[in-house]
Amino acid sequence: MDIKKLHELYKSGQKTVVQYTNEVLQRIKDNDLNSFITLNTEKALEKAQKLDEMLKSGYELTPLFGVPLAVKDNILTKGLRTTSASQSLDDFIPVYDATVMEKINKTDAILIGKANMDEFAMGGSSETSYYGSTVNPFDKKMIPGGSSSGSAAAVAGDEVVVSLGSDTGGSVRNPANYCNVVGFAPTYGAISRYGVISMANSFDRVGVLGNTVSDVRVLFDAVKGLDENDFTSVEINDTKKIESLEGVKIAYAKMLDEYQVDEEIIKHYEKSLDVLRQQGAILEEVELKHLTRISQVYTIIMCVEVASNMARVDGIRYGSSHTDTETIDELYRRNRSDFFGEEINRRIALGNYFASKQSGQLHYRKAMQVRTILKEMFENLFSEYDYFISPTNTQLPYEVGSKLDDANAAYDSGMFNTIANIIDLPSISIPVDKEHVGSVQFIGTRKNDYELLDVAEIFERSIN
Amino acid sequence: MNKIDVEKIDVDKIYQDSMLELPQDKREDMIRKFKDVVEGVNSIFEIDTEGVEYYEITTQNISPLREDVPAASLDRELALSNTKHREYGYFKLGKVVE
Repeated sequence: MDIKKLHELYKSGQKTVVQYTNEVLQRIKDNDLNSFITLNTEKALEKAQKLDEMLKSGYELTPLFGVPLAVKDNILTKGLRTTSASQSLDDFIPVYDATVMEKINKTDAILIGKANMDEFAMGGSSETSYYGSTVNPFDKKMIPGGSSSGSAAAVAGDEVVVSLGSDTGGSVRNPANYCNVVGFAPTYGAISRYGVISMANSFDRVGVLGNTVSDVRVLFDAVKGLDENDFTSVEINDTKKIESLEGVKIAYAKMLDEYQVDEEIIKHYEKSLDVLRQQGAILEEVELKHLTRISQVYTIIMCVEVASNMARVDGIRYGSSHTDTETIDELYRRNRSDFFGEEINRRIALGNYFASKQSGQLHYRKAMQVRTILKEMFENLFSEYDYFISPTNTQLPYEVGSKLDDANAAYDSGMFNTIANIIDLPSISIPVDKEHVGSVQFIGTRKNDYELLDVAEIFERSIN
Repeated sequence: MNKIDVEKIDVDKIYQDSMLELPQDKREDMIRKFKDVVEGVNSIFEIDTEGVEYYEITTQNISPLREDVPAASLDRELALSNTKHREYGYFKLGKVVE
C-alpha cells in the first residue's frame, strides 16, 4: 500500500479510515512479525473515527490523512510507553513528546504503535531487543536488518504505510534493504533529535521508511525542520527540482574482492548502473581508499559516545531500578548489569576502554583522524560528481540466531551505508527488484536532500 | 603506530571501572567477545594520519543562544512519575558522602 492508493480508497468510499486501521491492526496479529513492542490501538481507532467524521463533512485530504504510521521505540511519545527495546525502560512512560512526535501529532497520520528495534539501537538485526527479534516478512527465518527492524518490517508487511526509524550506522537503510522498502537517512540534523534517545550523538539521525520515495518525501516534509531544542538541527529547503538524470554526474563504487559483496547484490547493482546510463546520467567508476576501515572508525567512535550516553539511564529518575541497594555505586552497577543486555554492556565497556587512560585513547584519536580523512576524500569526490552510488549492503540477510557468537556481526551493517553517517551526508536506499533483496544506495551532498529524493524518484520509476 | 596487544587488556577492570558486572557463567565468553572487537578495529593503526586534524562535527553547525525567556517548567508530579526513588517531593538518593 502507498499513500496515493490509500487516499483513492478513502475518497471513493471503498474504505473508511476505521476499516483500514482495523485491517492493519488485524494484519499485525496475523503476520506475527513481532514488528511492534507497544500498540496504540485505542487512540488509533479514536483518531480514525474522527477522521471519518471529518471526511463526511467535506474535509480536504491532507498529505498524511488516515495514513497508518509506526514510530521506532526510541522516540519519546508522551503517555505511550517507550522502551528503546530495553528491560531498563520496560515501564517508562514519557512525560513529553519528541519534537518529531509533536509534528506528527499536528498531522492526520494515525500512530499504530511503537516499533521493535535493537536495544537502544545497538545492533543490525533486532536480536538484541529485550522483546525478541522481529523477523523478515519475506522469510521469517531471516533477520529483517536493524536497528530500525520493526519500522522496516511493518512497512514491508503492510502493517503501516510509512514509519520513522533512527539511523546511526545504517540503521534505517540496512533494514529497508533487507525488507525491500525505501529507507531515507537525511542530512544530519534535518529532523530534530530532541526527545530521541541518543545512542551516538555525532552519527544519530531520524530517518523515514516507506514503500515508495514519494511516501518517504511526504513524511519527511511533515517532520523536518529547525528546532530550538536541538542545536544541531538544520533547515532543509525544497528548492531546485530535478526533472531528468540527463547529464547528472554519478560516481559509482568499484566492487573490489576485499569488499566481499554477494554476487546477487552485484547483479542488482550492475542492473541499476545500466538503468542510470539509459536515463542519460554520466557514470564513472571510482576506487576509494580506506572503505574497508569504515566499520572500524564507526565502532570506535560509536562506542565512546554510547558509554557517555548510557550514563543517563541509571534508574534513578526513570526506568527499572533495584530499591534494596546499600550504596550509590551498588545501585548503578546492579541497575546497569541487570537491566541492560549484554551487547549494551559490551559497548559501554568498549567505549570506556577506547577513551581511557589504560588505552591512551589511541583508538579514539586515530578514529577521529581517519574520520577527517574520509570526510575530505568525499568532499573531493563531490567536487567532481553530484552523487555516489553503491550497493546498500554487501551481504544478504542471515538466519536469526546464526551469528550470536560473532561479536563483530552486531557492528557491521555494511561499510557503504555506515559511511554516510561518518561523513554526515544524506543517503537513500532503494529496492531494485520487488521480489529480491539487493537495494542500491545514493549518497548526495549535505542539505540537498530534496534533490536526492528527486533523483531517487526518477531512478525508482526507471527501474520498475 | 603499533597495534594494541589485546591479550594485555584487563577486561575485568574495564567492566569494573564502567560500573558493570561480568557474570561468572558468561565471563570467559564476554572477555573473548570484548577482545574480538578490539582486535577487529586494530588494523586502523595501519592508516597514516600524520598531521591530520581530529574530526569535529559541531563545527558544521551554527549554535545561536536562545533568548533567555522564563517558561513553565515540568510539573513536579509528572517529573517524578517514572521514578522508584522519591521522598518528600524530590528524587531520593542514597548517601554519596559518608
